[in-house]
Amino acid sequence: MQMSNPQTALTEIFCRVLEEFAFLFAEPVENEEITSAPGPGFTAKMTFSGPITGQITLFVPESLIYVIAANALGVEPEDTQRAVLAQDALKELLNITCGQLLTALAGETPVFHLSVPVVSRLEANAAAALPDAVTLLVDDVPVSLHITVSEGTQR
Amino acid sequence: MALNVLVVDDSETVRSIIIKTLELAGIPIGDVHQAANGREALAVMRDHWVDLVFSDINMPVMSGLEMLAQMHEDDTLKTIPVVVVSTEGSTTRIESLKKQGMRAYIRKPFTPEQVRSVVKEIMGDADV
Repeated sequence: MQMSNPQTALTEIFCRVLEEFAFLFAEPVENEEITSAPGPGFTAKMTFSGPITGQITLFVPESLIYVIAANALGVEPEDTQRAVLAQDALKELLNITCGQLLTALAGETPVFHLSVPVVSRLEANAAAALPDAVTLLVDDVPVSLHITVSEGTQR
Repeated sequence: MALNVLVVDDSETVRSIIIKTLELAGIPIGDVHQAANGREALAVMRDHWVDLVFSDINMPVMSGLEMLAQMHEDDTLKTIPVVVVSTEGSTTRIESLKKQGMRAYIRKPFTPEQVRSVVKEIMGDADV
């Protein structure tokens, strides 16, 4: 599967990975449809380099991060209140998404270097403010995705 | 026969997911050991009987590749099958891992059925 639009590919792949990893469904929405601020949350970022180079940013509100971790681990959300567990799950979600995306964009032959995902706590959804950011609703909670790609940059 | 497994990943969450998936796959599990990197994993393998290793590649301190290389140099450890569990989809990288001693590869996200199939292929029907 070769996809030409990284943002479209990222959105499709994130939805699929979220469903398989955490049994949650995501639906793309227009930013204007978001009526309430998502509140504080966590931003996960990682870079990739190889035949194409870029960065993926994912913002998930705090209320959702524990649900993602709980579903991935098969436990109750109250059992994932340790921030390190929940942040680990967010990193893994981004890591899997990135791996699947690179295969979709560049095929199965190239070798990429993936950075370790970095998670930071934010008081507001900074990713949504980035140009071309995509917002998705997951359990009625807005999640934002953003990707930058430059082609032909070999590490 | 219950299998003693070693799960190697720098993420506690990922280790828990792999262990949970092994349980869901219905694989008879004996002792479950965990390690956060290749160096810790080698120490566990030298101190305990391990039937099967599930390992990530990109880890701090010692990567999965370096762990495979050191296992290959050790007459006792080189017979322990290693299943690499990773997000990578590059066939070039997978072929390279096979040459370094990897027995099987599972790409994330994975299902209990995929894990069962890989374990069955490596350990045989009698053990699964």
